[in-house]
Parts: sequence; C-alpha cells; structure tokens
Amino acid sequence: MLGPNGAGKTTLLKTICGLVLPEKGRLEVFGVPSDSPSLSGVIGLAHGDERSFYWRLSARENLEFFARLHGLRGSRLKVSVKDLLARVDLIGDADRRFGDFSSGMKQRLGIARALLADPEVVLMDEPTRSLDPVSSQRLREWIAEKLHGEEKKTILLATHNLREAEELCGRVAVIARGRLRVVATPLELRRRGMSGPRYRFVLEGEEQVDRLEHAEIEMSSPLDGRVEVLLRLESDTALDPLLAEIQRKGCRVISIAAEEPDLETVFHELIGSDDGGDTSEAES
Amino acid sequence: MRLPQIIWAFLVRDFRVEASYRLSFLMQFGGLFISTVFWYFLSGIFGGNPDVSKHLSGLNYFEWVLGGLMASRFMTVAMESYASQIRLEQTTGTLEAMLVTPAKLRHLILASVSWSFLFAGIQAGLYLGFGLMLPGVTVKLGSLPAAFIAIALTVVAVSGIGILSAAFVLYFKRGNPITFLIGNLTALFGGVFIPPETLPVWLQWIAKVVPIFYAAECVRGALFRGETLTEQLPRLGALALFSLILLPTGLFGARIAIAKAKREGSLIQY
Repeated sequence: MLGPNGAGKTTLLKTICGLVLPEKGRLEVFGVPSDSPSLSGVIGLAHGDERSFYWRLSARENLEFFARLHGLRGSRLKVSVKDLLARVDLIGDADRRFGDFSSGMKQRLGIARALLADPEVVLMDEPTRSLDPVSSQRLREWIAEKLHGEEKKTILLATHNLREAEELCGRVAVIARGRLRVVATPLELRRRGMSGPRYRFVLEGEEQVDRLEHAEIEMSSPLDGRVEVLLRLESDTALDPLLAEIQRKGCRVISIAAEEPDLETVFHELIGSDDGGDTSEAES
Repeated sequence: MRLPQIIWAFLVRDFRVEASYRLSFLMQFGGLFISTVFWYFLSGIFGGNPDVSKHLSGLNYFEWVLGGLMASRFMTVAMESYASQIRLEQTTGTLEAMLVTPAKLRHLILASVSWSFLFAGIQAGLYLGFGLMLPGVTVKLGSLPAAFIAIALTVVAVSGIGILSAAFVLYFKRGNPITFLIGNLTALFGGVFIPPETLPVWLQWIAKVVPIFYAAECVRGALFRGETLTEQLPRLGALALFSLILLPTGLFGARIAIAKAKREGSLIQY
C-alpha cells in the first residue's frame, strides 16, 4: 500500500487486524470478518512504532510475554521464542535490553513478534520508517529474501517510500485520501505514466538544438561544453528519423539512454487526481 | 485463551520489570516501614484523645489505622490501577500489540492489574509485619476467611469503578475525574484514618455508602478483635451488595466505551 502520510494506510491495516471497525461496508480476510477472533493467528502485525515493547526487558522476555498472550507456554514457548530470535538474526542479542537495541534491531524484533503465531499474512506498517539508508536496505533485503523468499509469507506492506514499494512489492495499491486509486504491478504503474518514450541525449555540436521535428524537448542543459537534452517521442519508431534530424542539424550524439518514467511521477499523478482513480480495480 | 494464562503472562512481565528497578523495588519496602512508624507515632498523639478512642471498638488507634491501611491498599489498586495501566500501555504503544493477540480486551484489562493486586497483598502483609514489630499491637485472630472474603468483595466492587475509569481512558483519553474524587472522599471519610463517628453528623453517612468502611472493619475484626465469620456477616453482606451493583455497572459502561472507541478507531490513541 503506497500513499502519502494521512492517506489511510495505517487505518486500513488496523481495520484488517480488527483494531478499527469499518464505518460502513465490511472487511473480510479469508472470508472471515476482520474483527473475528479466529483471525488473530492468521494475521501478524509488525508495527511501525518501534516503542511498542518494554524497554527494561530483554528481547527474549518481551517475546515471551507476547507469546503467552498468543497462548504459547512451557517448552513450546521457549522453543518458539528462540527460533524466532534466530530467524530475525537476534539470537546473539536475546538477553540484551530492548532499550539498548538499535532501530533496525527493534524493527526486526517487531517482525519476530508478528510471526509468533506463525501467521500466513504479515502486515507491515512502514517497517523502515526510522532507519538510516543502510539499515533500511538491509531490512528490505531481509524481508525479500528471508521472510518472503524462504518462509513464503504473504506480506502487506504500508509505505510512503516509493523505492521500498518498487523493491519489495509484487503489486502496489496506491491509496490517497482514504481511497484506493489503483492496484497494479510496479511495471504496470510505470507504464501508466508513459505518454511516449523518453530518451536522454548528450549532444555535441556548433548549432544549438532548441526545436526538433520528431521529438519534444522536455529539458535542455549545458554539460561541459556539450548539451544534455531530454526528449519525448511519439513512439519508438520516431527514433531513427530523430537521429537523422539531429545529425542534419550538425550535432554529434555522444550518448543516448532510454528514460524510464519513474514511479514518483506516476504516484504524484495518481494522488493528485480527485476522480477516485481506477474504481473497478479499487473495488476488486 | 484462558484468563489465568493471561494473568500469568502479566505477573511474569511485571515482576521482571519491577526487578529491573532493583533499588526502587527495595525502597518501596523501606517506604512502607517508614509509613508504619509514622502512623505509630501519630497514634501516640491522636489516639490518646478519648473522643477518638471511644469510637475504635476496643482497639488502640494504631491497630485501628493498621487495619484501615491494609484494606485501603486493595481499594486504591482496584480504583486506580486499571486506568493507569491502560494509559501506560497506550502511551508505550504496547496496547496495540496486545490487541492483535487472541487475548480479549476485557481479559487484558483485568490481567494488567494482577501484579498490582499481588503487590498490594505483599504491602498489606508488610504493614501488619512492621506493625507487629512495634509495641502496642496485639493480634487477636478471628475469622481470617472473613477478612479474605471482605477484601475479595471490596476488590470486586471497587473494580467496577476502576474498570469504568479505564473505559473513560480508552474513550476520552483522560482518566475519570470522578475516580479521583471518590478515591479521596473514601480515604478521608470512609473510616480508614478517621473514625467516622468523630466527623460532623452530616458527613458520617459517607462511610456507610463506601465499600472500604466495611472492608476495613472486617480486617480489624478478623485480626485484632477476634470476630467470627457470623459476626462479620452483615459487613460481608453489604460488600456483596456493593459488588452486585458496582461491577455490572462498570462492565456495562466499559463495554459501551470500548465499542465506541473501536468504531471510531481511537482505542489506541492517547
């Protein structure tokens, strides 16, 4: 779920968990109403709030408390907690106080807690919100490789981080002002933003290129005695005539690179529109 | 999931948290000792007044106040701990984490104060233990079950107010001011520190309509006056009546507040 702050992502996650009741309509998970107690073992929630542990207790003690609330006890509790700490790479820090943990470790412990009941679906609310870029990248890799790759968990992740959505998600639901705008793969989303292919050229020549017949100049800036231009074509078939036109103008092509529309542009277009987006997909 | 298992989870957690503040943990016992000694010396001044001592049913003032202090520990916990514990869990963000477990909210509210009640029991025992170390206290054991039943009924009755207060916290995000008022009125006029008969007549009725008056009298009767269960029955009956009225009222109010907070999505906001 991708959306700006206040879009309703966290509210939706909480509604899925039964923490918030829908004002209208209903929400079902595997055909069961979201506030049904039977869903508590099926869904795990990893909070974005890294404070939601007892800071005076160790990682192991914290997990043991929540494991007891999940109905685990005795040797099963001990084994499950130890196994989870190992799975989130915190076994070496199991007896350290939570308050001494780094933000990344806290987030991983939060994920361990979400996995206590071995749920089929893990909901993650901005898991990298308070992490530095290196820790964020590590956590993203861990989620993709271990949690999704090895353990085959279905993950519903709420984020406002486009890179995170693109890197981690098979499908992206763009949500804004409490409404679902579109659900698509990151690639499909990018394509939605394409109104013709774009190429970035670096040109060298006597003449200044300020107008072209076969492309629209979106941006032009000098670059070490050369000029960098961003061109939008009507279609890829216009590329050959464009190259010929550039040569006719006395310019030499130093480099050329296809410019993918970034998700950010698409995202801004989607959340900027007030028409409710692709409602057929949203309803589905 | 069963309530005893949830209670156990909270007891283990809170013991670990308390034990992590070792000095504070030990200081609390020191504080209780000082408080006992304080009341001992105060009783020397206050208890010598014949207008007071004639209303103590044969006890000296220190014994009388000791019984009140022991009972009031439980009342204070029942009155205040539900709301303060829920508030604490809200502000630390742990309430949300608990609510996504299979544990029911009402069980969580009840279990969250289990350590406080256990600790109140230890404190009451220490009041008695420290009191016995000082001269002038004579234990004349009567029906201990009567004292335990009285404490249990007081806890049940006052928990009605406490749970309602917790519901106030969940819905209004602030503690119930009425709890503060009731707590102070009860301590002052409920026969914990001051015999109600020494108060102006128009204030004496307050003691009769608060559970702590009957609970404190039961504890005094069981520990210092050697009263039997039969002799204590009228007080236990009054406490049972309080329980029958206050607990369902508290639970009903809490149910409405929780349902509303859940519908508005404000359960975990603070």
